[in-house]
Amino acid sequence: MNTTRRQLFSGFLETDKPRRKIGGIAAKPAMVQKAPVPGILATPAPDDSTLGAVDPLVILLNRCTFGFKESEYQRALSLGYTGWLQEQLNYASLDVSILESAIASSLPRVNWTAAQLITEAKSTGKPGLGAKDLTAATLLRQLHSPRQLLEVMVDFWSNHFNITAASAPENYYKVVDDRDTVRAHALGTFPNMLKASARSLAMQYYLDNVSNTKSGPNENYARELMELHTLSVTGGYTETDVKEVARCFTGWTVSGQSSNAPVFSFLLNKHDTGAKTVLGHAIPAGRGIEDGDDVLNILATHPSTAKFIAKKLCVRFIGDTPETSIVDQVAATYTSTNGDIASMLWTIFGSAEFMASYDRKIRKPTEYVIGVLRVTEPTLTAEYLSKISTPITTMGNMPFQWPAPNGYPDSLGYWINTGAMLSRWNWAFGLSEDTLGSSIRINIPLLIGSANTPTTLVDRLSARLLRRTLATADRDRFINFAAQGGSPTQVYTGTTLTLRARELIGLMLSSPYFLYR
Amino acid sequence: MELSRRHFLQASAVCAGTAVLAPRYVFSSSNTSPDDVLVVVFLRGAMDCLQTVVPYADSNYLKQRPTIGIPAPGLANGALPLDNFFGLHPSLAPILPLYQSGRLGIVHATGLKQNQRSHFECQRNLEAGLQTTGFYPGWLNRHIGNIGVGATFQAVSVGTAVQASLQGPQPAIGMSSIADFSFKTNSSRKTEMQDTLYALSDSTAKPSVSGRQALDAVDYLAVANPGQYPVQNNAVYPNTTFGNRLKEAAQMIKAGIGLQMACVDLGGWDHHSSIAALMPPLLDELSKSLLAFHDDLGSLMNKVTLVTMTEFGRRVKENSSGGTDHGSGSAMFMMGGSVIGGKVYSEWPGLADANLFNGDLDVTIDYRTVLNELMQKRAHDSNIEGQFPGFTSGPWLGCFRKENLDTSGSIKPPKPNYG
Repeated sequence: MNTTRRQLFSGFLETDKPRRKIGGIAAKPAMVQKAPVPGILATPAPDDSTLGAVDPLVILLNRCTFGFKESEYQRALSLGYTGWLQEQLNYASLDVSILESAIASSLPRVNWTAAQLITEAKSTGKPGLGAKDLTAATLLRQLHSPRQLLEVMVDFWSNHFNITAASAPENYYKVVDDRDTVRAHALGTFPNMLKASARSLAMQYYLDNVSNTKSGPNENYARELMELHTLSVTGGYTETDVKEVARCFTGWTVSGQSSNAPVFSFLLNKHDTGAKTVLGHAIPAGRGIEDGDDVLNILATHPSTAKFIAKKLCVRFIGDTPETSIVDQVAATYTSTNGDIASMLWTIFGSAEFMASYDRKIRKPTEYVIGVLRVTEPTLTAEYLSKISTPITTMGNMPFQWPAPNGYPDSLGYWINTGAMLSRWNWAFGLSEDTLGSSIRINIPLLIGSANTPTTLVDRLSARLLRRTLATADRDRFINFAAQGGSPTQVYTGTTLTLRARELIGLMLSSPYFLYR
Repeated sequence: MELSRRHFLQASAVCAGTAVLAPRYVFSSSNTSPDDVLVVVFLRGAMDCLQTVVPYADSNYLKQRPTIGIPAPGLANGALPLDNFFGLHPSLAPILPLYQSGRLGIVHATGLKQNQRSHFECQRNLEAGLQTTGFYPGWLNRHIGNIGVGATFQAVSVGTAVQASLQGPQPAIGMSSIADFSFKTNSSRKTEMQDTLYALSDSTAKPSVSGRQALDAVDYLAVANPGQYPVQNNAVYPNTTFGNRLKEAAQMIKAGIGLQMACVDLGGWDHHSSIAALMPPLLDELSKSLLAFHDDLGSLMNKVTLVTMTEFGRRVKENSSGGTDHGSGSAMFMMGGSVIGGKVYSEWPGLADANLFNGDLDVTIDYRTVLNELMQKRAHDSNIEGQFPGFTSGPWLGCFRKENLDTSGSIKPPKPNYG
């Protein structure tokens, strides 16, 4: 059953009653967006206009999950667009206890303190164990967690506040940063996440503020804080501001490293106590840690930050080049809610721009690899994570491994090329042909149900895997392929049926229909 | 069955050498392309070129860098002398013989002059070949537009993504490795499956275009099988991602599949701290990889030109972390038979405070002047406006020769261009 856009909007507006509290903050009645009047509202074009429109509920699920299972689709249908969003944003009600206890027992370092992590790193000489556990846990959560929107946002903010976990000590302190900076605030407020990030041990090391002292300021954190975390490169700061902000953060560091009791600390004797000017704001002389905190406040409340964060969220959820109209609305929500992330998401998901945004976002490699598994629901046992890691590594999208502070790109232009297409296809066919090994076993009967002819197989599988209506020409191509020159209504049985199903599943997951999220 | 370009190309690959094929499609044991293969190594993160190509005779150098500066030649851990002013970082020792034999040259105090110290903006600007940010194709993609689309493997980025230099409307191949560039299926209906995929990819959107391109290319590469070419001349590539990517670029050159441009990245140069400890291993990897690539290709290197780029240089004065912050002027390395090497090309601006550009090494030679000379002399592309819109080249440095070297290393007259 497909919800038409009109039905959806009417349902939307009817349920637009005072909302439940979300993450401790009442969801703003942000969905004041009027239903679009067909033919009047200019809707942006999809990247590939030959594929046809997608139901808004499916757009929502595609954008807010790493691919969705049949049961999740059914739940979304029963909860409705708004209800499903409320459940995902109010994620405490979604039970992750089984998943998290499995992670806690097999990947224990994700729950360790900084002191535990550094102690092990030093005593074993293997500092990368923390990042290894964290990476595995991240992929497991993306794959299995019912809190899919949370995982999407964790991925988003992990890239926004990117820390490359490739060498010590970032490769163990990132565990703490993931938990206390990113996860703790992923659906909270941006200013709080920014402040947590500034004191994050991993970030202190990653952008070298740990050794930023008055004797020769290190500009790395100051520059990326403004360019990448808040204002954006066009956000209005100058080279003088970079130097001044660096001075403000002198003395912000990590202590206790040698005694295995690392904590963020502020060393007044390393701090430049002179007067500074940041973005036109006077920072008086003679103070201490307040200088840096003032800078964080100036940045968090700056209109350029509101616009930059709004645009980045729109790039994640709407399109690589989102319309100014929606970016402005989300920026206004940022400003009116002091950077409440859930409120900004409500603005996005309630917008006409979002409802019409099908086929404007490509799945990143990790999203593709995991998405293939989530929509096909194979039987997973034992070493399946290492199988998943191979194509993700080949395509260059392993979490926490992007080598620069800007995080993985989220654009079609970056991720799609000839070799990337082959890698995606090989993953899809590896799964459908059951050649990935015993740890990942596709369940063909589950996917095809009672379908057993070229036509019914194509219709069943496209509904189940792609959740969309195929263009007529493409549906015919699939059917002709499956019919092998014979009748589209011929009945297949046994191994022939299985073979035809494997081929179709591989083809559908390789086709442009599944490349977009 | 729908007729596809795929079939034409498959047929082409099989009957290679017949009259229906343009020269660039011909398989041969040597590279028959009239043009050089340009290999662009982008050093992402902004290499500190005052550490790698050390102006040891500039009296301000060690004053600005009292802790991290590389000592003059002859001193402990001193620079390796290139001339009476510049020296090489000791960890670049593997490429010193190439410099001494004239196969390697360096341009210093080069780059793109801009008061902009963002890695990402500067990479974009350099790769677009533009002074200011904008959505333009990469300079190599524009070069393809100038000279015309050639072989399927005319332009290849060896890595997980296509370099921005190669991005744009003209086709370019992305390849994480030769082995991964294959279509893996157990199905007995592989051809029908590929044909269906080809037919499904029938739009002008990039996934469709890339999909069709991949299907065109994958069988072709399987026939050419560049992986069969062994490393030659006792060359030893470091067993690293970068080393392996250069090795595969060399294999594609040996396979004679019409490669004209290859892009490879080496990242990790953002040394805001501890540069004395962090830089040597990277330089070791870089220099050993370059040497291996040069030696491996033997006489083929006479028609291969490798250049390095980096987004900007670094602040002249060191910071309190034993590193350097973002700056301006940097250096380019050029390697190959076309390079008039053994020389550091520079209009040295000096490192006294008064000579610095906002605290940075100034850019006195625009990097596009270097590339324009390269493109015009070695790639038959004199369309400078097409390469670098709005750019007026300064006088060429004379760092590339137009004539080819023969296998003995001496100059031979240029062959007529055919095609």
